[in-house]
Amino acid sequence: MRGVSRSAALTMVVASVSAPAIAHSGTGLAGGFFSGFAHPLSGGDHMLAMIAVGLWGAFLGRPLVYLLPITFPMMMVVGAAAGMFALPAPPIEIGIAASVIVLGSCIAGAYKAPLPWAISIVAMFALFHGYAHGRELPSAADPIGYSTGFVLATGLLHVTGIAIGLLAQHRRGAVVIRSSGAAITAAGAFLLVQAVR
Amino acid sequence: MRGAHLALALLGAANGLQAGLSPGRLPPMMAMMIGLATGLAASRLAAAARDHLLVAACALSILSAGACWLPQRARPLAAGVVLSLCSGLIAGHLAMASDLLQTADFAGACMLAVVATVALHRRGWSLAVLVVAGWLIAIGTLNLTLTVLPVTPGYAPDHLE
Repeated sequence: MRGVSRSAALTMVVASVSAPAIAHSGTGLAGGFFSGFAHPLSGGDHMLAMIAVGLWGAFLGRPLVYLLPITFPMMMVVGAAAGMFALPAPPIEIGIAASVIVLGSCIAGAYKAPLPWAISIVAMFALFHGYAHGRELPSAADPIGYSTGFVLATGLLHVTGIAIGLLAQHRRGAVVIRSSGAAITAAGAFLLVQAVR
Repeated sequence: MRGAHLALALLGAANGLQAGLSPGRLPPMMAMMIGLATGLAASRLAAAARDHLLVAACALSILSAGACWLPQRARPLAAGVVLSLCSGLIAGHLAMASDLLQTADFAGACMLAVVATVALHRRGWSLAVLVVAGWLIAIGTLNLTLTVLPVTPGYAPDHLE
């Protein structure tokens, strides 16, 4: 993705992460669109995985740079529907932690996955994230607004990841990106330990 | 009506994307306006029909956003016009059944989407439009699921707790 200036990439990053990341509030979420929008931003696990999807997509280039940010929300919706109907599922928190580890590792290792593999990996992990969102959907005034909010927030986090990934065009940018991938992997390992305990 | 204003905005946005990518933008836009006016002029529906209108709005959002993904040759103008007409009709009915001011949600979102789509298309950024269309399909599918869900999961322990 050549031809995008550094200032444009930084502007996209700043615009996309202007909402503050608050502590994961867990129970008690209520309200509509803004609550739904804040939900992925309030969970470090969700946020890291979604940014990692955008980062990895930017690294993989076309067509995955736009296919991954479409695949994740779509499969997340499937997972959310499964969560809403309380379908049986494997341990969700372990799956979410694993998503952070795997996606971070792909970035850190500069893994150029073939298209079917990349889409399959992202699709599989999106199910876990969606299931978690679906189970936590509050009986609030506007569940449609809530669901719209969290899908939109997910997409914007992917865009944030892509914008960060554009830094890889520069010489030191590639090192920064891969280091970020390593940091994401480490965070995922921490989350996995917490989930297993 | 819970969620109607957002459903109308999503329907408007999806149709705006579809019309913006259409080879002839005027026919779908006119069809949408005609449908909207017809829907508004229709008699007030019973409250029981509101849920069906919401389902129809979600389904049309998915179809309109999905039409953006079809190649030009598989997307005849007539189909776009029919889709726009139906969307306008449903939007008009839904607004009449909920709150007339919500017509502005539909029309505003549509106009914004058309302008943005045309601008992005001219700059060679049509892929961004397709990504947004994908998101609208996801949102429409989720909203459709919610309309058939008897009870939302409610307050439950967070998955980290």
